[in-house]
Amino acid sequence: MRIRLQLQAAIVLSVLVSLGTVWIVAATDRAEDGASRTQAQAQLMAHEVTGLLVLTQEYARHAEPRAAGQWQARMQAIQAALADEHASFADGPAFQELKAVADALPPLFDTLQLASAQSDAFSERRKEMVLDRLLTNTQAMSDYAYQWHQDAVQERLEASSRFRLAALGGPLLMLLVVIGSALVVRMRVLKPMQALERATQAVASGDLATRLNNPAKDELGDLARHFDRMTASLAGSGEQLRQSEAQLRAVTDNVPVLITYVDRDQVYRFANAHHRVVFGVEPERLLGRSLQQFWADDKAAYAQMRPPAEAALRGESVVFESLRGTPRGPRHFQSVYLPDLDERGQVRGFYAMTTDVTERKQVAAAQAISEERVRNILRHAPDAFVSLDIHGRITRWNRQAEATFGWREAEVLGRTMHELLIPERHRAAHLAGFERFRETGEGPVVNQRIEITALHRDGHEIPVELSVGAVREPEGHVANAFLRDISDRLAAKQQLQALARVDVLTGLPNRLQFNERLPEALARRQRSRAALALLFLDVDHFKSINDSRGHAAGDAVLVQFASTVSACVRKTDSVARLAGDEFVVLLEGLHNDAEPQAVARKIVQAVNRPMQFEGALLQVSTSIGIAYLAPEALPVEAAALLARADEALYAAKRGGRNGFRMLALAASSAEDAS
Amino acid sequence: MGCEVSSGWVARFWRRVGFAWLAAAIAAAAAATAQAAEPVTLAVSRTPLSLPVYVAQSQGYFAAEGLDARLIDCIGGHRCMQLMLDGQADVATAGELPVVFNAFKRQDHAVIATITTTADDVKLVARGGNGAPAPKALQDLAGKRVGVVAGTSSQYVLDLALLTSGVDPRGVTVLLLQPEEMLPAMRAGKVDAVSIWEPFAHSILNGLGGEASVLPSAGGYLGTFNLVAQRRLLVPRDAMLQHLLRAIDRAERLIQQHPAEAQRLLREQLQLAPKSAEWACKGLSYRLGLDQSLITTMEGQARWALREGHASGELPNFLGLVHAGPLRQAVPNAAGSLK
Repeated sequence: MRIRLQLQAAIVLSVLVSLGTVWIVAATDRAEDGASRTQAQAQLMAHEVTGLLVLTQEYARHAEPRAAGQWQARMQAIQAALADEHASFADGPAFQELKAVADALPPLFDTLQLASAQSDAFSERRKEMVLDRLLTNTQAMSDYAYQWHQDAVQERLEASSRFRLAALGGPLLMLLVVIGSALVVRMRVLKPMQALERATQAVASGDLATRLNNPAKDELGDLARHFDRMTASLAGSGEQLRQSEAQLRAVTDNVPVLITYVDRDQVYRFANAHHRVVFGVEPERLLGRSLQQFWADDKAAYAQMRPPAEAALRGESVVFESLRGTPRGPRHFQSVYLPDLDERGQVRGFYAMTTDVTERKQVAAAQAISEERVRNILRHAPDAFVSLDIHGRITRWNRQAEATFGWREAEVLGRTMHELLIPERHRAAHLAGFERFRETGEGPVVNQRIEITALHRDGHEIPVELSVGAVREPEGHVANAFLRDISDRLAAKQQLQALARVDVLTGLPNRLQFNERLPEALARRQRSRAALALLFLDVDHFKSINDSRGHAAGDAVLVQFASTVSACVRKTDSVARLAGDEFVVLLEGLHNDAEPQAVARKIVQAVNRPMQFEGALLQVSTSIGIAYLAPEALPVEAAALLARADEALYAAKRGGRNGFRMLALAASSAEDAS
Repeated sequence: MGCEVSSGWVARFWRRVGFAWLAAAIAAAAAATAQAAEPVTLAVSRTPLSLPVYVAQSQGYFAAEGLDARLIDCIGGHRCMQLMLDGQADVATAGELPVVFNAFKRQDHAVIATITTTADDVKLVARGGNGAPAPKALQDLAGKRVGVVAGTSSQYVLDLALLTSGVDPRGVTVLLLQPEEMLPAMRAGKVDAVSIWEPFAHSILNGLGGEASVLPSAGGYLGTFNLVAQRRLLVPRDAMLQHLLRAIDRAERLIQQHPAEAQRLLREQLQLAPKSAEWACKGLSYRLGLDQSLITTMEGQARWALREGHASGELPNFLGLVHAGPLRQAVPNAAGSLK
């Protein structure tokens, strides 16, 4: 049965019992009152009947009208009392009998009076008969009155006992109802409630396995079943929650970030394990303590975090940095305070994520120093350093760049390189190449040293050596370029190259230069259609001079020899020393083969003149081979020409030295001349 | 007066609730303690006056009191009493007049209780004859033949009515008849009137159709119907008599409280039509008692019997013929002022 129904039933029962008790008490009280009245009436009646009996006997003896009058008066009083049924409050048989008897008496008394007036025998018999009847009936009246009285007494006693029963029984019954209700409440309400309370405490303390298992078909049974379902569901979601909490806890405990949750009273409600790492504090120690309490020993830290905390509790997101003491010394922290809002937008608290940025700051500082150092290096670098962004705009321009290109740093920053440094004719190619570089980071200039021509502020071009490094950035590649003015180097190089083509001893072009000039001369002959001759000559017996007189003497001979040969030819002709005592002379613009022979003859004669060396005269001669290339001759390779000249020299040597031989090439027959 | 005894339902409720279980408990205890039911034979007159005995028997009140009651039917208290005096019954139901008449001859019996009181049970039924109308007044009975049952209230009521009305009973021819002989005698014209109790009065009236009438009563007779026991039972078997009286007392209460139920039992017992039962019940008061007035009545009746020559001898001492002990023990409140 439903508890509500039971309680309602108990209340209704209590009310009924109370009303019933009151009603019964009232009724029995009334009955008792009635019985008391009846008792008094019956006593009065008995008294009247006794008087009637006496009067009857008195009249029978004396037949006095006075007695008859009194009898009748008394009888009328009795009948009047009996007629008052409401007052009599008696419906028992004795009272009814009393009334019946009383009704029969007056006729009998009349008959007695009648019979008493006569004195014959019949009247005497009649008088005796009637008198007997009168006395008997009056006696019966007295008996019935007594019985009536007894009935009233009995009624009163019963009413009294009923009254007592009701007076005692009613409260007793009420007590039973109350006890019963209390038992019902205890069994059906309090016990299940206690069980529920224990279960809720168990659930509150985390024991989600708690079940009530109340099979009752009442409200608390329903409640218990709902509770069981709820705890079962909670256990399920609690498990999920625990898992996700554990995951969250694992995550928050393992990130190198201080995470806390602070409620609106500025009291810590959550702290992750990183507090142990950073502050050497168990995270649990924060919980339940306010910011002020926890940071009581580090007032400076509290002063730093208080304004942002207050701002976060006003609903603002705050990022700030602070310096706090830790067991490892003062550390820099960056904190983010994020307000936690409920559905109505009210601030419940805030999440604080605090990161130790000390290392980052140190790195940044180091980086700044490093950058300053690089900047310093670049500033003082011997090369021009130019950095370009992805649009080709200049972002760096060092001092050497100013010196090289004539532009001040302030003038170039933000301007493109190509408008400042690239000559007009190269700009299109430069732009295309830069576009490709920006996309790919590649190009002919990347990580290569190449020489290009750059434009000086004053408009003159400067040869520069360019080296480009690519740095990848999100939008593309940017370029760092070193540019070196190589004007001086090129000059030096040219000088070196010149030096390399001259024979140091004699000042004549060496084999290298000759090897350049000969093909050029052959080419010119081809265009001019003039004759050309190559004279191959050496110093006869130069080895013996070297051996007998020493290298210095040899060198002196070679110097004198060079000078002599050079003096024998035109300025436009070329004389070169190929190696040792081997020399060549290239004659161009000839008209016939006589001209080379004339030159050869002139040289042989000039060389025969003795020469001074360390106070002594040295006699030297030369042999000359002439390769003649007539105007009509077919084009010939330089090597072939040299080989012909060498062949002619050998012929001269075989001819006895100190002379010349000439060999023509191709379409003309070789002709010796001495 | 009547069987209808109205009473507040509250009282009935309390009687039923309060006493029914108490009585049942006592009866059960009595039944449990009694080794065997005590046999008792009652000679019971076939009249509505005997209703308490019928009720006690039919409701099992005798058995509940540990009595094995056997009822013997008899017509008229005088016969029932004779059966008792002959030893065929232990107790008889009878009016006070058979006791009075027997008292002149013997003292071996005693009234132990009055079970019913009546002011109107005995009626004078007269008939017309040969075209003459039925008599309407008692004075009309002068010189007529009237049938009475000898030694009963029938005889006394006739004399009382006549004397009260100023008619000398000696001027009336009295024929002694038994109750069952009266209707045939009336029909046969052997008598002009009869003095007889119910239910015979009613059946004679019915039997004679419109020719008979009931004469007005006179004399204020209050009849009693009593339990009369053999003297040898008194004292030695007072305990049995107490059980008997308790059972009767229960029956009286049932009749007072449930008159309709009681009347139904009466009809079944006497095989009466509902109208007859209702008629017969008029003027009856069912109350267990034993009053001083019974002795006064019997003394007056004894004087009448001697005076009118119905009996002879010494006036008996009726105090000795009343035995109040068992009633006072069984139902103290009912014993009245009788010492």
